[in-house]
Amino acid sequence: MPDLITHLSISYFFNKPLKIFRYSTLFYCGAVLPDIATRAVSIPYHPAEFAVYPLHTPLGIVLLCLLLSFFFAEAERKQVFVSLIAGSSLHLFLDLFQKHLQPGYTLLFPFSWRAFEFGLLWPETIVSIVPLWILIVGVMELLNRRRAAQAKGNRQ
Amino acid sequence: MFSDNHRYIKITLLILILAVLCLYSFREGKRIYIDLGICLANADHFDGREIVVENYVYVSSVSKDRFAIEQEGSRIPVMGAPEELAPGDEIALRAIFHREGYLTLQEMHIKKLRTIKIIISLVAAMFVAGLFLIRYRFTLNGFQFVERT
Repeated sequence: MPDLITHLSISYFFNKPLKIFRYSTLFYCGAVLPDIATRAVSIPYHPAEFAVYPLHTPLGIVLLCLLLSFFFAEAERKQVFVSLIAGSSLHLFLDLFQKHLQPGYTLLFPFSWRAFEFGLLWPETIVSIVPLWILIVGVMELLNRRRAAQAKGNRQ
Repeated sequence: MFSDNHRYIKITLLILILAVLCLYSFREGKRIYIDLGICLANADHFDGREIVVENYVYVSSVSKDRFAIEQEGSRIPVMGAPEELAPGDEIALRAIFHREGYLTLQEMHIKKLRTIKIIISLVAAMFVAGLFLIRYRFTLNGFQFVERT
């Protein structure tokens, strides 16, 4: 996995300018969900790694997002699901750019264990550019807020 | 599909399907992705075969032309130049297994910055949890999250 700051920053780049998702908080939650659901268990307790592995696969994450959406009000459930699944899909897509010695990600699990990844970067490589992500997101957020304040001022 | 009709049955079904997937993965994953413990326990079977050990592999000692690794309590020497390695480093490696109980190094990756990656990921996770809890609260009435007003 790239670190979660990288995942969050890239989901911010997608969400903020385009304003795709009404429930942006849930889009960001989706962007970290696959790692939260798996690494939060497998890092402190290594033997459970394969027990939680399905929650980092496309089918598993669809089922998990569907399950989570049932804990929201009926009226907004569909939007919640769409936001969570969009964030999670972006997460799984970004993970494919990583390189491992083992085969990679089993996109067709449980129907096939054949793994795939683009294999461009070692998972730890991106950590060194995290300060850059934080800077870019900070500047974008600042500009957005300034623009929103100006627009509000113009209306008044 | 998203309606409240049979909501608790849908929730139970989804939990059951996920549990079955997790159980299947737990059984099959260990068979497909081998670790040092499995290799050492079936030394004759893996003799001369190329293996990849990637998860939670730590360097336990380093000498001139070899080093030793440890994974989940299984320890094994590795023949190969320990360039830039230090005891305690987390690594991934591709190597040839020998039934005499050692590996010949083919390819290695040192997982530098992994601890930092975990720490900053933890910070990011807490940030998202904060964002979520600022916006939503859980209510037992309906057993669901609702937006804070």
